[in-house]
Amino acid sequence: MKVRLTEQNEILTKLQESIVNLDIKSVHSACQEALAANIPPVEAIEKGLSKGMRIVGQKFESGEFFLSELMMAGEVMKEGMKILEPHIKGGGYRKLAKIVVGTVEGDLHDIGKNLFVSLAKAAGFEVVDLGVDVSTDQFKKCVAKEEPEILGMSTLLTLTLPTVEGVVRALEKAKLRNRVKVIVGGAPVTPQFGKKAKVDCAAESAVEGVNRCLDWAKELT
Amino acid sequence: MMFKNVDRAPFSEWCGYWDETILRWHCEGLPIGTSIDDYFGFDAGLMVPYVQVPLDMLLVPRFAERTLEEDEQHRVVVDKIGITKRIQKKSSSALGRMPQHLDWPVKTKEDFRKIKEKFNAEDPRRIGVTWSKELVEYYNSQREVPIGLHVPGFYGTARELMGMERLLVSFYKDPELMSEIFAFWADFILKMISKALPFRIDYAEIWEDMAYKNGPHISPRLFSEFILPHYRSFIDQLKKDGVRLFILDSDGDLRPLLPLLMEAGVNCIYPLEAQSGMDAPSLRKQYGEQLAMIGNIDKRALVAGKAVTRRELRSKSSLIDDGGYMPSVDHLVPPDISFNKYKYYVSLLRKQLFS
Repeated sequence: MKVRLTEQNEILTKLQESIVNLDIKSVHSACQEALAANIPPVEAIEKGLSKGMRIVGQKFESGEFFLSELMMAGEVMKEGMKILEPHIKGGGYRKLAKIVVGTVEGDLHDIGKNLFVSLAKAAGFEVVDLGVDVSTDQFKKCVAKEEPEILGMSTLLTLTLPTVEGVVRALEKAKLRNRVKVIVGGAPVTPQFGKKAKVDCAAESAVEGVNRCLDWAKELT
Repeated sequence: MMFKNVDRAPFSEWCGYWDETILRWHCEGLPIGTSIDDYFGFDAGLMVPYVQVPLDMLLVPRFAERTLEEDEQHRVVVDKIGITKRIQKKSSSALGRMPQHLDWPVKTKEDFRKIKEKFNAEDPRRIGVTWSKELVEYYNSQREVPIGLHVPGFYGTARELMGMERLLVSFYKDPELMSEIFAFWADFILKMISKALPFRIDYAEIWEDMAYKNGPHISPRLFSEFILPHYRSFIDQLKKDGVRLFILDSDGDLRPLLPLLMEAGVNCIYPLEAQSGMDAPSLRKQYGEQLAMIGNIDKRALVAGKAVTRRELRSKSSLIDDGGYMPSVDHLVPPDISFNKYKYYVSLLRKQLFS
């Protein structure tokens, strides 16, 4: 049993390292090893791949990794999930929480939003991606229908910052605001703006945004 | 910009204006039919369109522009670069009409090899129709106006062809393709430079846009491995041809890449976006006269009003006096700056430069 645990730990370490080393070939072989060693896929994801993504996030925040490494780690994670997820019994992987996310109306930029979506999925969230140019009404209706724990909004333009405030007001009016944490990100977003817009978090980066969502998910459990 | 003794710093708006800004200002008193530089008395040749060597370094021929689909709100088009874009039809804002990029022409090595045919440096259509012996003589005689050479950058060009997400992961997934693209681009640029030589070239302006508010898109390691050698080669060539000023155009926080860019020969950057943490006085302390700068006047300060604008310009006053710095708003002047607010900024700048 002791040997088996050591072997399992080694495989979990390989899974982590494949993410941190941005190595698609290794993630394929490590996932196959995990399945062969009967490591439960959820454990392989949580203690292997997701742990690797957290290390990548730390390296990004410390300035060791850049956007290219962050995106590539997301690619490696996706490859690993493709192998592991079909083996999860009971219809899939229990998600930490649900996030509805979109780029606000009048703005068609999606790179920052897509990065957040990719990292949030990798961290274990269920993500409903509304895409770009999402109207206030669409956000409101989706929050009512999907009942997410978190609403994320992205904007690159200073001109569309007031739209974020409009969405928050619409949620208040519909008595939905208290049901959901609101996070906003994008180039012109500052903590001062976050305060003014009455959001719960104005994230400086996609990594910071996902970390805050992880904190909230912990509070929920 | 070369840190020599001058009468004053240049007086201009190097980065230019959003179309919507100009429309707004016409409603607020800017006379129709009067150019901005004439209205404010800006120095000639230091604003879009700059006076540049008429060489075409884009795809020749371009892709045929066409609409793929359309509804009441949006139109999906393929542009001249081959990028598929979704455009809002009814946005009230010019910035809101910035398109969503959906697809790019290069996904594989085969795609790249095919598109290379559109980058034949020997294609006669690369020489602008305005190119003539007369133009060369006229430009070369205009000592008051700097003549530029626009160089599409390595990262910037690859991003236009592949899209940012594909490009960023391709450094890891397909490094051979990246090496091939950058080597080809270096060769193309060197060939094009050789055609520009009849002109007196005062500066080369390299467009990259390789950073965002949290830093460069790629790491210094990737830049060193894939791009730096090629920068050295074309900058060295232009230096041999007498060019002394190499201006890099990138939004965002470029600081981690600056030492490498400077090592390759870049000695000026713009627009130094303040909201991304770029701060010209700090960079001057760090790099001294090794780095000239353009921009860094925080657009948000101009929106905020007179007191903040005064404070912003005051923070740059010693740079303006010291030289090697051209004050300019830190990106295209956005439409949330009213004409009155901008006029106030220009009046302060004029006072600073001409007093």
